[in-house]
Amino acid sequence: MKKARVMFAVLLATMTVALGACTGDKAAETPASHITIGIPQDLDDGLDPHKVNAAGTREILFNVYEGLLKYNENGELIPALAEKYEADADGLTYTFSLRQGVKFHDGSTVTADDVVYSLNRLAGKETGEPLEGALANIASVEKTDDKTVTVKLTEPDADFLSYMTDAIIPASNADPETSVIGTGPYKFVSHTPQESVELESFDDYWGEKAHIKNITLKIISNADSIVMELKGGSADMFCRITDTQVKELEGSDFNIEKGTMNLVQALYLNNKYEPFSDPKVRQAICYAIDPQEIMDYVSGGDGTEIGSAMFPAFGKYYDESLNDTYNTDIEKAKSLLKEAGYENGFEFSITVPSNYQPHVATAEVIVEEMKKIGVTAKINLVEWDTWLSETYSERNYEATVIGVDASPLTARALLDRYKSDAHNNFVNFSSPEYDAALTAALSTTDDAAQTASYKQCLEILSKEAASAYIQDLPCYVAINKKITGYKFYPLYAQDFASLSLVTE
Amino acid sequence: MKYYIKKILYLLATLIGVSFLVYAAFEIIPGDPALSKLGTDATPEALAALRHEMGLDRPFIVRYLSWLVECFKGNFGISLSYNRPVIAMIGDKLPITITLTVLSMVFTILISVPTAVLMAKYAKRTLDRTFYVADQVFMAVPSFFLGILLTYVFGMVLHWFKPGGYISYSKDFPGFIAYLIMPSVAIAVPKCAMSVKLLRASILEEADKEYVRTAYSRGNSTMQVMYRHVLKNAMIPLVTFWGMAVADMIAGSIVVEQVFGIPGLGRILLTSISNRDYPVVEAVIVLIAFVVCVMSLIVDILYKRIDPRMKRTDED
Repeated sequence: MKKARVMFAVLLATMTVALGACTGDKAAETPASHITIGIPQDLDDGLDPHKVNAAGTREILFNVYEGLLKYNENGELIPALAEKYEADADGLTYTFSLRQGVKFHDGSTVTADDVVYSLNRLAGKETGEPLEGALANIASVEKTDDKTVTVKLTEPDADFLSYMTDAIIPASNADPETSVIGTGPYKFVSHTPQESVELESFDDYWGEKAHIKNITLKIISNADSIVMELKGGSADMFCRITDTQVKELEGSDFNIEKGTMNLVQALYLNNKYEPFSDPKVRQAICYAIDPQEIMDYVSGGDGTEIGSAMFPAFGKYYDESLNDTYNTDIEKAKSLLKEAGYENGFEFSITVPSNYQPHVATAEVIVEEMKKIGVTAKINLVEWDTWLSETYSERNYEATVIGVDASPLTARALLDRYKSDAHNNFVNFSSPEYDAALTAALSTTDDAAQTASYKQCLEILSKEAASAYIQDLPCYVAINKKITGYKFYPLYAQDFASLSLVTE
Repeated sequence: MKYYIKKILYLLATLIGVSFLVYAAFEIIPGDPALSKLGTDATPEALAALRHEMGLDRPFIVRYLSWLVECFKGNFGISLSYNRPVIAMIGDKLPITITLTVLSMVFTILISVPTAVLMAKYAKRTLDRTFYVADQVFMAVPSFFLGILLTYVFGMVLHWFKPGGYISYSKDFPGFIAYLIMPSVAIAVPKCAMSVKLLRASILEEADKEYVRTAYSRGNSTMQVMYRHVLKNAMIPLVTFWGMAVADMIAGSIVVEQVFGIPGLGRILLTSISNRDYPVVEAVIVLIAFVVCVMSLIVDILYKRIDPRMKRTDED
């Protein structure tokens, strides 16, 4: 018995020492340069920057990979691996002068050959299958000299430069899927599937170096535990939390940064579904919906009203006057329904992916608003994958609430989908006038003419009531008070390099 | 021997049946793994190419049979969303769920046996009655709810642990075990309550038997009789329960893992279902079914060891 007690004492002592040593070690590392950022899903679609689709993966790889150009927080293209570029007047030839001495994360220097290799890989020059569809337009990529790369296009493309933000990777990297080598301010350290991703700042970065040494991206797949993990100290930051979570974080150690989601949120109407095939019915729905009421209910009044398929971050194309095409008018809505032969109303269902709380809340308001014009709407909650295949891909729905984003950050990405024969025209919109305006916009390289055509497209969508456009949702980021410098981008990008710790 | 062969054939049939049901379920529910991976920007060409690459363009039954044949060869396929072998993916997460189950089982046994003995000793007295009421309450509380309560009380209010602060076993093993204590308690408590109820009743029943009186008459103390004679016999019904409890704990940990943010089998199963990554779902479900079958087999065997009477009835 005595022996056992002694053993226990010894064991306890060893454990105390061991534990003490553990905490001691951690304190010795500069703890200030490590933060944990919660992310809602794993980087499960691979890490090859040319093959990644998921927005959640792309916004993180923004820190690891860079293209010849990159976007700044205003959505403007700025030089990155190319110091400058020139476009010929015919819009067919682009000459990029490369920045010298840029290092890859493996220590090698970026050469013109790496650039040629990356662009050819994206354009599918060797395989015949372009990894970036829009770059199939590339006729040739040539290394003019060690500092210059010339790209020739088959036909002019006003959006070409926005694709030059695609990653430049080393030609020597045989397997970009597993060995992640870029030029960004953060290098990739490790990935534990379904748990976490580790990033470390890159000491040889060509531009302004990152401030925080180590970043752990922790996967918090259960939305209900986000607030708990933030408050409990398991995560220092989480992007895109809901209005409810914002309220739950009030009075805690977190600041809430407010931005915009850069989405076109609408009650999308299936234009092939009777009665939505009649523009008058669609217009009636637009008159019945009050975006302000929705914004008040969904996010306490935050959000930006939109009147067509364009969000305000696009400045140039966004036309605020379209917000007034349909100012809420119940009488007008009822008379339009009468003209269309639906004076007694009708029934339809709104399919909403259940994992997007703001869209579900929006649908709830719409159901009430529809009652006012004698139309019965009911909500059909589905899981995201079901929405993706049945609603979006097979277009087997009546109406749906969702936000459409622009990826890449071009007007085309938002407007292409309304072309009668577009593969992603999930609202089944069809208008010869629209198709003509869109074709005009795409075929010119003159900026003013293009802007005018795009604006015309937006006007047609609004007048024809392709769908009932509502708002660009607000975006809330919870960020621990010890961290500062968060920047919103109008595209899928989380700029970790701009973050720094508050020095006390 | 014949008995074991029969049991193993049953096991195989169950596993094949389960795997077919899972495959069929994915065929019926909407959703497409290729679309899930490519998202809203997918072009029809890219989608078709990926579907072909994933083998989704083949008929359902062909896909199922070829999957089954591969399984018998020990190849459980490649995860559609991660492009990694399913075995490796599950292998990474299995230690987490196993540790959680073992810890829960240890807690169940350590707490339930002494409690039941104590209650039986003071049967029908205040202590027994108080414990009995508490026991009923704990039996009725689901693990996930208990998990939320524990997180709130010990995590948010008392700060005994960091909610969601899971530590990977490969990084810091003691830290990993420490984090799993609360979830294990949440899983163990309802099982514990059930064990106490069973064991208490069983002890009281045994205590009335003649051999106990004989043991007392030989001059043994109460405790000696309890541990040497009564408990040994009283444990028999509990073995069955514990065997099934282990299987139940693995399945139950799926929910509790979510509450505590543990990336074990549960998370892998849930994300794979929402990604329509059916090779992974198949493997996880078949694994759980396998554990359930094997546990019931072990219970049968143990039963015969403990209770010689079982031997004759079963082998006929």
